[in-house]
Amino acid sequence: MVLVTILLGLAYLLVPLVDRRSADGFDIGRVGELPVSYAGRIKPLDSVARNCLMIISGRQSFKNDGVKTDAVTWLLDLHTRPGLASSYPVFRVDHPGVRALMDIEDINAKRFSYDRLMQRGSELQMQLGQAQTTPKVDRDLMQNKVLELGNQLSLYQTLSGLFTIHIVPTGPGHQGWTPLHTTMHAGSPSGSEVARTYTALFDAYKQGDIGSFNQHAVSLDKALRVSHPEDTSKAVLEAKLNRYGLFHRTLVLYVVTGLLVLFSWLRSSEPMRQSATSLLLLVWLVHTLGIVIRVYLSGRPPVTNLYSSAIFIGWGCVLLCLILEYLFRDGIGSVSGAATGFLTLLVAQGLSGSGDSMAVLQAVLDTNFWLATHVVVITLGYASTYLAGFLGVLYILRGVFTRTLGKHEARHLAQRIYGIICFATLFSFVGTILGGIWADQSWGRFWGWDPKENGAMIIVLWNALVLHTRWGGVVKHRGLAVLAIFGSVVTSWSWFGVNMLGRGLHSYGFMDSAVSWLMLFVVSQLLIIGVGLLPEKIWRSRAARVLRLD
Amino acid sequence: MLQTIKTLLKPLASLKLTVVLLALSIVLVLAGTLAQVDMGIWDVVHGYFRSFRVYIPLQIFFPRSYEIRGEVPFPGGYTIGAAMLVNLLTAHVLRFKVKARGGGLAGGLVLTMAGGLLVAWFHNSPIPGEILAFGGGYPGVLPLMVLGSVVYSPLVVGCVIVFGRRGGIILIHSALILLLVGEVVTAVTAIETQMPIYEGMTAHWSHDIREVELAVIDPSDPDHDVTTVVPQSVLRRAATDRRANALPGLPISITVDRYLGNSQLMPLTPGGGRLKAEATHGFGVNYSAGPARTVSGVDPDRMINVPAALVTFSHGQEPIGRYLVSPHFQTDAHIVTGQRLVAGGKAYMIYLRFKRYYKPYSMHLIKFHHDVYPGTSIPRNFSSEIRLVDPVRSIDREINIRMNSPLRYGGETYFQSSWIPGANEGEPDRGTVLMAVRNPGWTIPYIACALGSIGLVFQFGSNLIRFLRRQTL
Repeated sequence: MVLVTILLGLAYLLVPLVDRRSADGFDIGRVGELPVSYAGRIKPLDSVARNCLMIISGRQSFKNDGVKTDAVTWLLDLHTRPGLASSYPVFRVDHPGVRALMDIEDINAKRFSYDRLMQRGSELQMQLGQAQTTPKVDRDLMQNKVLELGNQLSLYQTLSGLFTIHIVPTGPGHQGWTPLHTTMHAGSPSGSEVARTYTALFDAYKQGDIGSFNQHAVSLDKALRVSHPEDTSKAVLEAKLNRYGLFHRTLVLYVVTGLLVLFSWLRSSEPMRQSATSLLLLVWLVHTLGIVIRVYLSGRPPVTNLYSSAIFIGWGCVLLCLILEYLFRDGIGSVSGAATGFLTLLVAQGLSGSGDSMAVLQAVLDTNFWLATHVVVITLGYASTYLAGFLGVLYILRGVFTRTLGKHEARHLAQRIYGIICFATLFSFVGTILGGIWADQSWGRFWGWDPKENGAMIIVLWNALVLHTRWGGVVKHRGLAVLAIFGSVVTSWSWFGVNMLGRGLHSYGFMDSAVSWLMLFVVSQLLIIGVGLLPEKIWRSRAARVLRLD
Repeated sequence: MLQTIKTLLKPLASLKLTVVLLALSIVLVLAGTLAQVDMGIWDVVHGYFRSFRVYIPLQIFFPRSYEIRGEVPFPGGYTIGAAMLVNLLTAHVLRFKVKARGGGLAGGLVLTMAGGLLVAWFHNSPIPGEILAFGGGYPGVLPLMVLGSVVYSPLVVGCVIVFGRRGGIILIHSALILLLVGEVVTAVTAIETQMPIYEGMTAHWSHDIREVELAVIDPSDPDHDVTTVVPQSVLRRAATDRRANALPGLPISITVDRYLGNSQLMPLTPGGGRLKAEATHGFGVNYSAGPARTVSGVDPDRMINVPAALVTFSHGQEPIGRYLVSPHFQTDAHIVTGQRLVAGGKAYMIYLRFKRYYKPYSMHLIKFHHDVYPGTSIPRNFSSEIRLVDPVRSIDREINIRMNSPLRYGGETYFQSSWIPGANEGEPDRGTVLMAVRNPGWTIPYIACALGSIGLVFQFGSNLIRFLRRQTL
């Protein structure tokens, strides 16, 4: 059974790796793997296209008359056949005010073409002008959304001319890259060779000449492999990672793992539990591999922005869960790992809308040492606080709605919550103080009471509070579970909430989708806390316990 | 007798009190964070954390679109911190049993104290800095940690001998005490100032952009200027009591007609408008000064408050004129322009400028570097090539101050903070802005970090080992 599960998991992971490049079409994949320099980082054209399309439409591909079209094709069309590309429905317009401005009546349509938006170009231009003259702090949500659309349109226009994508290397090694249009008249010999081939490639695409397009793609690939071997191999790897969708696959497998554990409980099947655990281990290894590849590609420690923090929090949670499962062998660890892994990757997916997830870092963050110590440790602190919260949720739900939380089980579960909170305290304390030391090193003050620092401090204080209530005998098992759940709320506040303060609370930012998701999460946790506070008399487990005693 | 004291102290040492204090501190920190939406971070730090009590407006807990009135009194950071300290110390006195006896106890105590001294000495010696420098920065961290564990071991071992398994908690709690003490030391003694230097120029002073001073300069001596300074606190007080203040050593006295904590100046259009000039002399005859919203702590542009004051100068009993003074009047970024004042036939220059701290050494900016990621305007690094000249210690050397790599000199630490942009958009930067911090307690958090980490690892590690042992039985 274990073996079969692992094999099925591997099959799911490995099958897409088989190269099914069709010989009789444009070799878009190969073009997507070519390295270019964009927004300060060398990356494959595929990443540029995906990130830009993501910013414009919220997706990495789009449907044109029901046909799924990938981002690189979109970019090629945009550059070579702008008249055609401007009819693709890619701009996502959600805000009712902006939709009214654009005179959109069809309530089911979400995405619109450039041509469609330009029908109301002059009205939009006027609103843009007004929004730009309003000071940043006084803008309302409508103005912010108008500006966002304006930025998307100008991104679209600059992409169309490839003005901001530096696709031509000016020489071997790290001598820099330039956009295509600047190398057409001047330039070094090797650079202009690449530029000529690119031009020919675009022409071939425009003419629909598959043969010569593919030939040019191959020669570009060869030329860049010779002049920029490391950049090219990294770009190829990154493009493959994009296409493969590693974290999406991991997410799916976490769901499968969770279901397996649930089945194993329903049927009290030990082999099923074991296969779930081994599947969890396999998924976690893939998760780890994904992080390792990202570290290799970006040359940075694993956590550099919100997106990667979500991925890393998931990783940390699952690691702790694997340890729990190894110690207790009752499926609780596996189910928690599956759930937290799934949820954090879901959050990561939601966060990827802002573009490049490996974007270059602002100057003050440009220190691998502190990113590797402070950021990693504090992120593990978040992870373990969340995990304790999730175990708390399990305790409450199991106790109230099932008959399975006997005295023994309750004690064991509470013990696990306690142990995880100890970990959480260690990581959040050390991480927060390391953050203070980083601040002392780069700004000259250990503690400045700024929102992010305060958020981290509240996590430490909360964990300390939970531990002291337990030591003081103020709470027993159930209280510990309830307090642990509130720890998730506290952590979410520090992780996301404080980032929303600057913009959010001023205007009507409460409409922002991230804020509403956060609110939803907080409300759900508070609900569970409410359920947990129901008198134990009506808990089903309690009733079962009493019955058994009789 | 001893028993009575113990009974009296017992409630102070209770764990329930600890929980209450932790809960109160969470509420305070949360409120102090939310308050930063409307208030400057500095005002929040003083109002909420470095105070004995605070009135928390209920509005901060709700979106600003709902109007909520009322405020609740709440203990401030000093009160909660002090209560925590008392709670912690009494708990240790009452509950924590000394485990060792006789010679073991004496040895343990001596070892602990000697260890403590060793740690304090180590952190205030140049050794950690030199190891870091020797390793070329962060690669030096590993050897530093190895050496650190040697330096800390007597203290840790001593603690464990005296308190046994409780040694871990003792270490954690002493780390907390150090953090509280460190924050108080910082609150009381730290001074944070900025030093703007134009490329090719030399700076002898730094200024505190949170505080202004009125400077009256007598430039008549060709060798040196004589500067008389009126601090911000005096200006504020004078604005409320409207009394005349004589300037020591000068035949001048001032009354402050108005003081604005943050201001904006509006140029007056000739002949029209409701605005009137309130000043009779100086630049102020062409401007009207109005109050501006106080800069908030979460302001995305990190603006600063720029005060302004209307000041009437008198020579003896005879009024000279009313001046509008403000750092808004500047010839260039960071260079406040003086206004001419004549008193008793002698000319003076007056400035409302940010409070200055003069140094016994000087810093000359050779070159400022502002690197960006290729093809973008995203900054990658800022650095300042500085020539440091200290005639007293006969030092003349070139140094490089970068992001995450400050210079520690003369009891101060200089950080790359900002820069002076070109006069017009697209022109090259013209200089650097360093931040100079004097904080005598800066090593305390480092010690706290080490002690706390060791304590937590020890405590939870021994818990874990006991748990695993039980598990395998």
